[in-house]
Amino acid sequence: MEKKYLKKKTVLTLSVVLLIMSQYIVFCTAQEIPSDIETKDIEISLSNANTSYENGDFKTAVHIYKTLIDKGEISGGIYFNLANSYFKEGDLAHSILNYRRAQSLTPRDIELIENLEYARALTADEFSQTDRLNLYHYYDKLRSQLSIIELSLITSISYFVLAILFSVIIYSEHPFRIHLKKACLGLLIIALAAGATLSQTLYERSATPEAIVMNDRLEIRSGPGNDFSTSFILHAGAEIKILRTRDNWAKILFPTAGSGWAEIEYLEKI
Amino acid sequence: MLIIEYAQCQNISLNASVDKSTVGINEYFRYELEVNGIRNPGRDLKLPDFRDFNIVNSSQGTKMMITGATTVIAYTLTLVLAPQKTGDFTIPEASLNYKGKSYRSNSIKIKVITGTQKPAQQATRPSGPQSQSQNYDRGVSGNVFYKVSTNKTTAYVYEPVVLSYSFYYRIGVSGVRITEMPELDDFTVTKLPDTQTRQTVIDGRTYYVDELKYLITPIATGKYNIDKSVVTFSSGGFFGKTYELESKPITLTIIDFPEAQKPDGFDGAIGSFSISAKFSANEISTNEPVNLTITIKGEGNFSNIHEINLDLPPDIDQYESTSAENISADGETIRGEKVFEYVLIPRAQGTYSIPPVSFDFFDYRAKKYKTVKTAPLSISAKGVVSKTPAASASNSISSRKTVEVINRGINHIKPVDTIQPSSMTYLYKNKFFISFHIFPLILVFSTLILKRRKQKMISDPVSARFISAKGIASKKLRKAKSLINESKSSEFYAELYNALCSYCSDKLNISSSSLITEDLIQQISEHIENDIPEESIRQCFNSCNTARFSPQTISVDEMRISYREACELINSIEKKWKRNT
Repeated sequence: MEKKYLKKKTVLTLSVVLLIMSQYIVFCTAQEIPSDIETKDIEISLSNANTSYENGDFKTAVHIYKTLIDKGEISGGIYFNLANSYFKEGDLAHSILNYRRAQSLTPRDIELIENLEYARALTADEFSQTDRLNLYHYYDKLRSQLSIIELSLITSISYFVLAILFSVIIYSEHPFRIHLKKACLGLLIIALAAGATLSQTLYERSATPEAIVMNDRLEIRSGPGNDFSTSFILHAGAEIKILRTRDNWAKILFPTAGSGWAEIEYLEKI
Repeated sequence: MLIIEYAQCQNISLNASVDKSTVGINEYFRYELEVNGIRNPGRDLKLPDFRDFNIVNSSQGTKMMITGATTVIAYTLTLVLAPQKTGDFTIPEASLNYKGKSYRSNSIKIKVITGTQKPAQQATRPSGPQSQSQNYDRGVSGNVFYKVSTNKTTAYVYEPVVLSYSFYYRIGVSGVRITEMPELDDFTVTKLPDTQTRQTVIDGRTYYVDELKYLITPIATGKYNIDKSVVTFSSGGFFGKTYELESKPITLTIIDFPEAQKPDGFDGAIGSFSISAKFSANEISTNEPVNLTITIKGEGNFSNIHEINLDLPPDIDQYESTSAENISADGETIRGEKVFEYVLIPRAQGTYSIPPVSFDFFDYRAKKYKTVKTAPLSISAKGVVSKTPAASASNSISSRKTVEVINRGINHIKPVDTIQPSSMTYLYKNKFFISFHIFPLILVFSTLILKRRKQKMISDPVSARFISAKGIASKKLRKAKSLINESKSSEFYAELYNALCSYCSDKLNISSSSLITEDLIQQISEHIENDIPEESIRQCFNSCNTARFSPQTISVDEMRISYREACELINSIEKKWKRNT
């Protein structure tokens, strides 16, 4: 009788905690929407933009998609459509920029991956990833399959569930505790791995952000100034990493050519 | 053997001859000495003194002739001589001392003139009408020469051309080897079968010819120089030495196909061909594969025959085709057949007619384009599947081909209904979300505190009773409250009394049944240091005790008053206790 009562109590507590968590996430997401337009208006705008695209009016489509994004409608799908519109307009650099932005939100979208590869193939500069140790390469590949939102949710949920299970283990004296300990260990590994990956991704994004070359022809110099000699030349759509900045210049890294300095105004961060 | 020896003894004679009595100073001539009746004279034969001539080459041999019952044996020695100066010379007689007897040959008169002796008859050319007969170097006084030639000087691109390396000789040679061959980068080269040594007459002289032939196919237009080739050989005999001869470079002009009347389907095939086609079966089931075999036979350049596009009805799927060549060099051309096998699968039942398959090629002999066609083809597909679906599917899969991407563009935009809401885009930046992560920690610490308390209660029952006294009393009070609504006065007062007793005994850690009410009240009052008048506590207890056994009906209001009094008493005691502790 006593055990049954305890079990019922534990299940009830867990359910309540999970309910509070989910409600809290809903609350937080609702807080985060800075959008000041109604859902119906978004749908109308998107529909108009898609119609303009299909009618060949890519300029109007670009304008509408951009307006939606400026109003806070951040979504992989809108970035994808905006990138497509830029591509059709012949603006390869903006197209790649928006495909990459879409990729950070929906990294496993096959259509997006195909379009990005197609656009990359049209750029003037040969793009290839830097060679790294194999293990790191696989880790990088796995990391690129998850968006930051997914990583943060995995980390948070595993952390919350871990805390609940840990509390149950502490309080309960039920023999089932042994199994819970194993689950706790698994969750701890998941939470640590996801947390570390999330931290690394966020750090990389802030410390060495990626950017796209927007100018048709951008001279990369050996130092931060026009007086320095030209090391190499990049073209529109080239994907680079910003290592550091100084005044109006950024030290950039292009995998196949090395590092150099470029004027910030010709770069746009992803 | 005896007979031969007899003949030898009977008919020994020496006979000297030259192939020409007048020679140019730069020419060679042949001196032949025949010793009849002896197999090999060895050292017994004394050659004449060739002081005015140089011996360029020599060879020797034995011949035997059987005439009826008589066998005649003869030894021959051939010398190639080069004159040293002009004038009239006499080659003295050769002599032989054999078994004590002496034999002599005739002497030879030779006139050496300046320049070259004119040929008595027109030279017979060894090759065809377009042969480049001047492209050779004479060696060893015109007895050996080497030539590289083609059977034509102008050819169409992809037209097979025969390239011959010809070695002419009329003296004994050995170790003939081509040491240098021209580079043929713009040609595909196929070796033709070796031919037997043949004889040919050039400038009135009979030559043996050894030939090495290649079929060369030009792959681009232009004027090509085929560089010199070098051959080395050794002349046989006693005075043999190694010679090297070079051929002269030759020129080959390759022209493009004529544009006039060029068929649309022409794909570079050149030669003379015929075409045939057949199905592996005339009647099959739908979704069952059938093989269509197209055979192109003839002679010419087979490597330029490519897969033929079929004009198929829409309900027939075509899969990857295979091709096979069965060709061989035949004389001075390549002859054979090229077979294409197509796997076709009719997807619907019915009889399908396939238009004649045509093949365009350029006939370089006729110098015009030609088109050959197969007969019209037909196949009927029945609606019943003869095989199991799995077998049919496996057949289809095995013959599938990679889809050819014609012109891949970008994927189309996403429709409105598939664009996901953006509510969680920056969740990880949300302050509320981040702050919420403190709760699990609070949960864990709270649990730890609770656990500690629980353990303390288990280990110290007195404290456990003291702590849980209020809770237990509250439960009983709640039950009592529910009884007010039901107007069960005796049960209500029993529960209320029970709550008061239970609370006090738990607080004092004594059994509620072990003490009478008066002792309980007294001990409570002592513990709370008489802050609450003992009389009021007693009154509360007594009123409950009296009412629970009272036969009179007690009103709800009275019960509520009693309930309130009991609650106030418990709360007052609790407060006082907390203050004291």
